[in-house]
This record gives sequence, structure tokens and C-alpha cells, in this order.
Amino acid sequence: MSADAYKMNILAIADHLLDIDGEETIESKRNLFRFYNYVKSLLPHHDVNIMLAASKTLGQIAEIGGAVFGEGFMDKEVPAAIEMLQGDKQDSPRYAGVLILKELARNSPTYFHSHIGLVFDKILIPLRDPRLIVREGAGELLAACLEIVTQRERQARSLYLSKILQDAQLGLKMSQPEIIHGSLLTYRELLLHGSMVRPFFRPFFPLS
Amino acid sequence: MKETFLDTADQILGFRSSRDNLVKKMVITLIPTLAAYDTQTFAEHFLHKAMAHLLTQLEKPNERSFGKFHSDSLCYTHQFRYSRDSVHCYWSHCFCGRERHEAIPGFRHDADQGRTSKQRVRVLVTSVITSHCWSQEEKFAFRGTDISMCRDASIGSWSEFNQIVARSAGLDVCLWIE
Repeated sequence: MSADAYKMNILAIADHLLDIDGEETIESKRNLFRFYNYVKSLLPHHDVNIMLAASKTLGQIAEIGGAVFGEGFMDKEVPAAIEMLQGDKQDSPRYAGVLILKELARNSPTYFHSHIGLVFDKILIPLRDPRLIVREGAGELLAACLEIVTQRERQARSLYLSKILQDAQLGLKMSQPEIIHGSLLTYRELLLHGSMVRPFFRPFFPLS
Repeated sequence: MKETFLDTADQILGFRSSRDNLVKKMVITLIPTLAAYDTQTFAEHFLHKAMAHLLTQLEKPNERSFGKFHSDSLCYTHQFRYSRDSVHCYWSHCFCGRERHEAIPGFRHDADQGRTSKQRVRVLVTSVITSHCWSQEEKFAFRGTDISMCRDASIGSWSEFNQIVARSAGLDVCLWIE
């Protein structure tokens, strides 16, 4: 079995183990955190499929462990993932950062909420990344964030939304196709998730 | 967004003949999103433009697949329920209104050609309603399956295929159109 196939299988097993896990004990908590760290070692990875599978598992862990890990967990994880978004190198772990943030936002919105400003500050970087997969991932991250903001945020909501909208408008005036594409992606997410008033229109894939 | 909808939609549709294929595809994906967001305004101002664009897109053999990705994609039951309104709106405007001949190049409503037009319309309508959110995971799941095989095979394996996709997308039911 190749190393990559092996990793895929390990992730599949982890998914099943997480399904079984029922009662919350100190023991299971420790295991969960161990799992988390194992899975995180696969982000970044050179194989996109493995990264995607790893991020799904990570999301599952975050969902189960959200309350167990507590506030301190997000305080550490979100800035670390944001760090991955930055950096200029072509092979930067940007995609991994996007995936981690996306899963955390989807699966642990209550705790993610307080860090959402950080994400909105930096989301433009992956949204304009030259790689399509990074942009698409960032679009999904944006969708998850918008969903959180529209549900939970009262004051800062329009601030975030108008900033994102402004960036999208500016992007459409640029000449690089990847920036235009990123802006169109932003528009789509804003139209789908950005407003409270949506006549006969709801997202079809509930985010949580 | 509500206040700027006209400008936004105009700007977005302005990219429909962009030189970049990705941007072009994205515009097609955005058409139903725009239509659903504010159906009335969309129907008033952009419907013809959008429909004409989709039809020209279908005429081009090498770019037909842009729309086809969506028409081949799956239509989920909930999605269908919501989008019936906007589809109905497309139909009534473009296919029953008297402007249809100007609006749609090559469209005939004659009885003998009815079938082909209808088929085209069906593909088109599907492409209009199904452009929806394939998230990355679903796209991956979708790519992993041999679609050409499923299309040629019998209904039995189609429904099986639907089940597979429904399962991988975490849904109970999944409806395949066209």
C-alpha cells in the first residue's frame, strides 16, 4: 500500500472511531486532542485529496470537541491557521489554512465567532490566490463565516459585509482573471449567505 | 446588496464574454443565484440578456460543456422546490411571451421541431436551476464517479448512482434530471 493510500485509510478509520465515541470522559478528551494533532500533521500535505479528507476529520473532531477543548483551543488554532494564509511563496500552506478555518467555522461556530474578525481581515489573500482550488476553498470559508455573522453578529455585521463587498467591487476592476474570478466568488457567497432577507431562498446544504 | 443589486448584476453579467474561461463559467453559475436573490428585478432587467447568453453558450460546441456541467449536475429535491418559481419565471418570459423569437436565436415553437426545442429547453432549464453550490467535497465525490458510464447505463444504475451521490453528499434523496 502506498504511503498516501495508507494515510487515507487511517483517516477513514479515525472517522469511524469518532462516530463510535459516545461518552465524554477525561480519557476520551485526551484521545480527541491526540487525534486532532495527528490529523493536523496532514495539513499541509502534498496530496490535495488527503488534505481534504484530513480537514473533514478535523471538522468532525472540532464538532465533538468544541466544548471540551474550550476557548483556549480556538485562541491558538485560528491565529495559527491565519498564519498559514500569509506568506508569499507559491507552495505556501495556504490551502491547508483555508481548509482548517473552514472546518472550524462550520463545526464550532460558537467558539469560532469571537475570532471572525481575524478571518475577515485576511480572507482576501486566499480569495485572490492564483490556484483555483484555494479560491474555491476560500469561497466556502467565506460562506461559513457569513453564515455565522448573519446569525450571531448584530453590530459589526454590516461592517464586515461592506468591507467584503467593497473588495469584491474593486476586484472586478482589476485585469487579472484570477482576481476577477475571486471577486465573482465573493459575490456569489454574499448573494447566497450575506443577507437576512432572502425571499424563498435558503442554502441547500446547511452549514452546521 | 439589495440596494446595489442592479449594478452588481450588471457588472457580473458584463463578464459573460470574458476571455478567461473560468470567469465565463463563474458568470453562468451566478445567473441563477442572481435570479433567486431578487427574482422580480432580475426578471425585469436581466432575464433576456441571461437567457440569450445561455443559449449562445449552448450553440458553441466547445463551450457547451460550461452549461453542461450544471445540466449534468444533480438537482436536489429541496433545491428544486425553491427554484420552481424562478424556472417558471424563465419559462413564461422566454418561451411563452411573444418576444421569444427575438430573445432566443434559433428557437422555433413549431410542432415538428417541438421535440428538439423542448429537449434543448430542458437541458437549459436544468442548467439554470442546478448551478447550485457544489461544495468542494461534493465535486470531488462527483469526479470520482464515472459519469459517462452512468449516462449510458440503464435507469437502474442511474438511481444507484443517485444513491451514491446522495450518500456522499449526506442527503437522503437526490434527484437526477436529464
